[in-house]
Amino acid sequence: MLTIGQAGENLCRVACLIHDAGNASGQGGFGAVWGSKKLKAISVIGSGSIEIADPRALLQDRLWTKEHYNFDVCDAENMKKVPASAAMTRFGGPATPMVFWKRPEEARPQACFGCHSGCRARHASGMGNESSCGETMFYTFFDQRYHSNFIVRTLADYLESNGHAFAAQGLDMILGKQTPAAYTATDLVQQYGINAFELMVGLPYLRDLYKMGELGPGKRIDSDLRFDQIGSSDFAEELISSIAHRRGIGNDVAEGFYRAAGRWERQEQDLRSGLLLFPQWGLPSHYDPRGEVEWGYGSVLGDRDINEHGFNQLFWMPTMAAWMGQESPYPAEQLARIFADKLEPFAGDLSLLDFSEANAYSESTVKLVAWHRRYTRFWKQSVLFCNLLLPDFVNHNRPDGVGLTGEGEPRFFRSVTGRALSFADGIELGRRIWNLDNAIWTLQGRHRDMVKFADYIHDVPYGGFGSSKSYMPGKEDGVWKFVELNGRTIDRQKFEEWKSMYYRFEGWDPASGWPTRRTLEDLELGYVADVLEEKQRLGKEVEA
Amino acid sequence: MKRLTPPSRDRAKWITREVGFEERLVGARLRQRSGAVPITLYSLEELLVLLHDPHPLVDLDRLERWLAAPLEDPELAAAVGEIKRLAVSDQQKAAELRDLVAARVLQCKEVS
Repeated sequence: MLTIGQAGENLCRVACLIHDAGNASGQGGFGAVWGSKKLKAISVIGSGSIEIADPRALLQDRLWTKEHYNFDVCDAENMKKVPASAAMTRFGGPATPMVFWKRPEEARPQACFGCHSGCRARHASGMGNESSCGETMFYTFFDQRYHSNFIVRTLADYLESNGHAFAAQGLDMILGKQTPAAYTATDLVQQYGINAFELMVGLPYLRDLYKMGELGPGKRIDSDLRFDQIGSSDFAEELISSIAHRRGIGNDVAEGFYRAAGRWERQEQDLRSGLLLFPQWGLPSHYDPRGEVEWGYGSVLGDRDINEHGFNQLFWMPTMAAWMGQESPYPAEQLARIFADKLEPFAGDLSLLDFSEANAYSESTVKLVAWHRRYTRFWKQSVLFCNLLLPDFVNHNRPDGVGLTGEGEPRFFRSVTGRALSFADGIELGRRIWNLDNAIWTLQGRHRDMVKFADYIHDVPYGGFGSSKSYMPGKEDGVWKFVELNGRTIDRQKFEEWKSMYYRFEGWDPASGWPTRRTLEDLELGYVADVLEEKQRLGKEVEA
Repeated sequence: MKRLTPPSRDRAKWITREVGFEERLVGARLRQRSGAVPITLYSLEELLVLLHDPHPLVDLDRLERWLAAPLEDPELAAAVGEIKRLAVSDQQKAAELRDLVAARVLQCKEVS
């Protein structure tokens, strides 16, 4: 069953398509698209199956991954072999639900059929079932804050009146308490069909506006939301239903926080200061472009937050290891090499994995971003391999740490479809899809001048909120190490030059970012060039 | 853990008040897949809630200054300064901080 909630029915831009209890097609406002077509749900019931070209080979592939790459869920000792700082790896990692709230004791992992990873959870209470990632995080802080205060106040009053004191450890336990309010809030966004990521970044923004005195009863942004009760189930219901039903400021937020800030005449100043953490295309911050450039550049060249975690291991391993006071499970150069060797057709070029600041505007970064766009356009978004499991660059079950990406994808593809497509063939098909996407955006009116970040990405140094540093592999003074990301900004002029370099590399017109006939015809997309020419949106040919 | 002088009733109330927007402190929670998710802190208790997170990020220099002013708790600020200088991991510092701030909140609650 794939359905919309009331947010979709009321044409909210933040409306999702929801599947099962907690899976959503979050970004892009697809819920509102369905709502506009009066399409409430699609339900599929059937007794058929997917036709497999070579079932025996598929089973052998599965056993091959189990033997060489899967985390062995039957071996309890195995858990100890995975360094905590390497928990980001999913294929070779333990079956741990990827939830960011405190899991209730009566819970179990939930996985797609046949998967050993189990990235979601089901709870005995039925609350918060199947939600994961940011959905399970957006309300937990406020829940703990609100209910901790309440419990501590009540207990303190009681103990004071009875002449007792209580130990700090006891207070620790109380203050760490999470109540059902966090699950309730998450279930509400799923049921109303709202993109939880908007709220994860937007709810602290709303509260900041309230604290600033800009938002509240009788204030410039008039709202009767009871912010003194933020963290309660009642507040969550009040806020989330107001968005879905477009009541009060909910009508503004239904357009997304970016547009809401525009309606409130705060967008420009809040994007400049970074109070409004929406780095590109009016969508909320995820991995920050100032730190992880391949994420930011990929997002701004596309049309959304990419939400593709292929290179996150490069951020997570050194960053978490440093925070924990440990060595990274792999040295910088080895880690870079494991990745670089898999980047067909640029395989072996270590410079693509150099995340030093000096390399952020280079042709190496052009190739890295291009590879990422191509890989994900085909192997993930078309073939639909799981975003959590693949690409599997680093795998802790392998003595050499080398994951199955490059070999695994075409192997499974061949067994299921019967087509002998190489890994590089898939990357090239991804290039074709990426070019088609750019042609569609061009038809919709895109020009390179629109491909830009919010001001804070250029003007406010990254990572100003923590002493702990963030790291990725890079080369400085000729030496591979984990280079620090804190304090970085993206230079406007250099980024514009980088964009020109990128457009040339793709065979697009650097003056406009539009596709050219030669490139499209090379990709057997001549008919797309015809349409663009008819609409006077074909780019000028690039010098070879 | 350093034992702090118990505050007076008025002092405790002042230290644990909610500060305004201009006086806020920004911390973050580090999460796989979500990255570093910033969270604005307006009181000592909110800081404590953040410190109960498995991976809290707080700038210790800023925290020390925040406690000294606007919260006006120089003794707690000095104790944070001591934790900042410990030769241990950031993870261990966060745990030390959590216990220290919990003890301070407790002291304040006992007298208020």
